[in-house]
Amino acid sequence: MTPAVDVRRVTVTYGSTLVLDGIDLRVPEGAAVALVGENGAGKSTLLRCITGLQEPSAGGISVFAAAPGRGADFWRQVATTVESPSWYQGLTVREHLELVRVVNGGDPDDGHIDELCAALGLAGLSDSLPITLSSGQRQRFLLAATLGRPSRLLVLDEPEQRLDTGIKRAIAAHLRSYVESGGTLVMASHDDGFRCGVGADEVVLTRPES
Amino acid sequence: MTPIEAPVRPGSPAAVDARRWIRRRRIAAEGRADIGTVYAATLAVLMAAGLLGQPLVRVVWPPDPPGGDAAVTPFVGAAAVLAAFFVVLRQLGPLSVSRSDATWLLPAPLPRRSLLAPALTLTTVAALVVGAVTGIAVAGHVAARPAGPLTVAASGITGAAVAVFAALLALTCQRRPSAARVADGIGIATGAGCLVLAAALRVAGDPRVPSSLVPPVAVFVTGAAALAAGLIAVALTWRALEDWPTAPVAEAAMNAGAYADVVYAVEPSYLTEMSARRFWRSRTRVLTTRLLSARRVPPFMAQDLIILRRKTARLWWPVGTAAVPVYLADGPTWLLLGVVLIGALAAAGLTAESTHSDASNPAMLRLLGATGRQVTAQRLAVPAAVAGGWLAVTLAVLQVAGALTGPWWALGLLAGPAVAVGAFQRAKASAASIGTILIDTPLGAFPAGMLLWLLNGIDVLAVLTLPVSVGLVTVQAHEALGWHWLLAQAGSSAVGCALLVRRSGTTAGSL
Repeated sequence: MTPAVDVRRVTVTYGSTLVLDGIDLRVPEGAAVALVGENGAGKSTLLRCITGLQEPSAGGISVFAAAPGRGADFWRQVATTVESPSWYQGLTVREHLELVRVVNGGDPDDGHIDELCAALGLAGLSDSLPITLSSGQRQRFLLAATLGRPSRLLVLDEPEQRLDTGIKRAIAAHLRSYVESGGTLVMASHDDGFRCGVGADEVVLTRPES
Repeated sequence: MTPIEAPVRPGSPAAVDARRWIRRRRIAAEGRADIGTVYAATLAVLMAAGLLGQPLVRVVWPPDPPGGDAAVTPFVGAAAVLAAFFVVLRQLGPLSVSRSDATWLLPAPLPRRSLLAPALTLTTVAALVVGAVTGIAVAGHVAARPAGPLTVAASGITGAAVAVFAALLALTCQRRPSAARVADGIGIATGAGCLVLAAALRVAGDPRVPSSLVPPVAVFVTGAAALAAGLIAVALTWRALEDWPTAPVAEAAMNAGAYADVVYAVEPSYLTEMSARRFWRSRTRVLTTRLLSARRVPPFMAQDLIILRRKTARLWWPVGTAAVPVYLADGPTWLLLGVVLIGALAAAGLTAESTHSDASNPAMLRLLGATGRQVTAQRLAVPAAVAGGWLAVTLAVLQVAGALTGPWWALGLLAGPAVAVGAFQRAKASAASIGTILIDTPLGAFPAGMLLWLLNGIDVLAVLTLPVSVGLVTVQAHEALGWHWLLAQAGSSAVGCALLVRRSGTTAGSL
């Protein structure tokens, strides 16, 4: 069976600094993998390469048997939070979630958004503009936008960051059910409890020089 | 390792003039101002005075005496200038400090009065100068000649008093954000309303007020009393500076710093982003609409409609500027043409923030999984309607004023999509893409940001609106506009939109 993500001997260097050295990773469809490792181990870099937002210096990557990051079809299947956060000025939290759902062909009134907002503690923030949210609330809002759209692969960079314990649990449960329903998850995490809550397999990355 | 000092009970602030201390250290490190810089600055001021002095004096005090009774337009113009002064003060603070002072001195236990007094003095002096010049300009346009010193003094003092009260209102707004929104709206509405009123007076005829209605002595006494009251209020504000809240000063310092960056780097494009952030952060009572979830309109068009609805407070400017071309109807055609096209471009740019945001960070586009073509096609509709509406109104007003004949309003409507294409191109250029380009000149490298920012989108606009431009230049005022002009503009707009959509990205994440 073709893996959802296939990373073959990927090397990434920033100038003279070696960040990833010949990494191999195969994630079957319907599996959850958590990249763990100390700061600078290359977790975010590998996630960026998987989404096609960064070209590896050497090696190859395929996602659903195709080169990553090319075309609207890829982005209809893959949802990610590895980029710096962005939103539209002037649209409320709820309108962002509806926009994401409508553009992806979903029904914004099917209850999915309400369910997500309740789970992520965003119900009272529906009419807020993202610029007025705190960093934790913004993280929840961006996760809701990412989880609210249909996808086959989620690529998340430390989704547990800046979240309260209760919300972390809700996110973990949501990700677990996403994987159980056939979705694939690749994430970076520093929180072992969260990783276990999601049920993701651990892949340890180490800094190449150590 | 040195142990960390235990916290102590804070004492009373030391009477140290921190600014003077910093200035002394800076002089010790860098020396006093370079004589070459002083020479260049003095020369620049003298050259500006030599070049602009005479024309400015002529604007304030025209050599031809006004005939008969006083016209109303100069008073309307003065109100517009003072409303603009209020808006500028609100943009700058008016109580502000430099960014480094905001970081190092504002949170320090220093007397707040010594920190903020220079900004208060500058605001007051600026109000006195702007107000006095505006007042004297009104006298210059309405007073019979020879105007005595009493008339000049009365108008100058009254103008200064009004400007000082405008500055006091701006200071109050800075302290009370709840009052600020209403006052800002009134300031903008007054400025725009005055522009419309002046245009209407120009078209309908300027009513006259008998010059003897209010004697100069009465104006002088009232103005002097008002000015004295205003200056007392400024003194009371100075006394209250010690309790002035920190947050508004810090925010003003951030804004003033951004304006300084624009001047220093000759790169104005990111002012748009700052202004947008400031606007949306201060928006209250926003309620989610049903426009997106109802799915009756394509989603990106619905997004633009929502933004437009929430920017109602800013629609005063396009309404006011629609009247400006009337003043220029008798002037050079190139100036009229420039104002008409740039005004339309500004109106089309009302909803351009989303495109600018997608161009600088396409993360949302990727999350949406929409192609550049889909986004571009939908995001042209609302700006095309707004620009078309603005052009139709402006050209119709010019028609009423007798400067144009025939279906010019229809030509304006048809030019809307062409203007929207120019506005889209303009919004796509992000600060990062144009700010880093340097042009080598014999005097050294010059950042091309300003130049490119000014020209960006104008080239597209100039080509696609050629029928409007050529029509304005060649068709005489009494000659009716032929229908072939409309056909040409419709064709040009259609080709422009089709080319833009066709050239847009077919992948998600690129416009």
